[in-house]
Amino acid sequence: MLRTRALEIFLAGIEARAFRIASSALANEADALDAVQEAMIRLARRYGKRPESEWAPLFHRILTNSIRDSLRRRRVRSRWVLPWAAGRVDDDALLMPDTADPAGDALAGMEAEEAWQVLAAGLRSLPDRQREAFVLRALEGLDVAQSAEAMGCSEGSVKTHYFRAVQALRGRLEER
Amino acid sequence: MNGDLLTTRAREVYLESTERLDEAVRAALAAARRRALASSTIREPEPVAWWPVGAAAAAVMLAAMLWIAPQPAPEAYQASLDEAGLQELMALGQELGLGDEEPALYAWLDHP
Repeated sequence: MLRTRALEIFLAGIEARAFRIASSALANEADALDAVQEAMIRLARRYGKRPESEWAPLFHRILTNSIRDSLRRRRVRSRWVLPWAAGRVDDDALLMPDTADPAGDALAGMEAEEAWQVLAAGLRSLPDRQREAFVLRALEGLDVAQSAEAMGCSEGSVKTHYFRAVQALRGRLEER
Repeated sequence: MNGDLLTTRAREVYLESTERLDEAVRAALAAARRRALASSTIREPEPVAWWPVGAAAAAVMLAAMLWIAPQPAPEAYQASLDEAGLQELMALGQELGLGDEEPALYAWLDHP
């Protein structure tokens, strides 16, 4: 009972953030919920017996992979199906950044919801690995080693992706 | 906007955004969490449920051990009689004065 309860507390604590991470990448509420649910179920089924200290990096790894899979399916679908489907929304358009509102210090001078929308659009404008590195390091506060484990790459790659993400995001937000 | 300010503000915006999720999303996340927990492979130990079984097994084993416990072997019994019991019997006979009786009285036992 204690371990199940601990897992429930962990999931309850991370689910809202996981949804924001997924929705910032996928720009679609239903897809984001699917990705979060998949990550929760995989963690509970496969890694529930692992030490609790390992749950966070494992969950982020699963969620990252789930988001990647969803983006990959979407890109394949948009490449092979959507060009011939009249009246359908091109999902790639959802991934384009919204840069219509120029502002100097974009995030600092906005209302909370607007700031989140701008940040999420900026994150979507980044390449996948840069977005993942920024989310894990800056938003989730994971260290380099944990981020590398979650992304399935070396610590050096995390540092490179993160540095480039900060540069690109800063440039993107300063354009506003 | 420098990198530190960007990451600090981004984190604030991100964490604040998690507090503004609408009720439908919160309900969907809670349902997803329940489904995940229902599919969990965690098996909690249940000591209270198992102790009667353990106690019954221990009682059966104890009864079986008493039932099949080996009886003292005749040799062992004789050995114990030879070593300690015989001296005790002789001491008792001396006390009763058996050694003082006339042996001729029992001669008819050898030649009936």
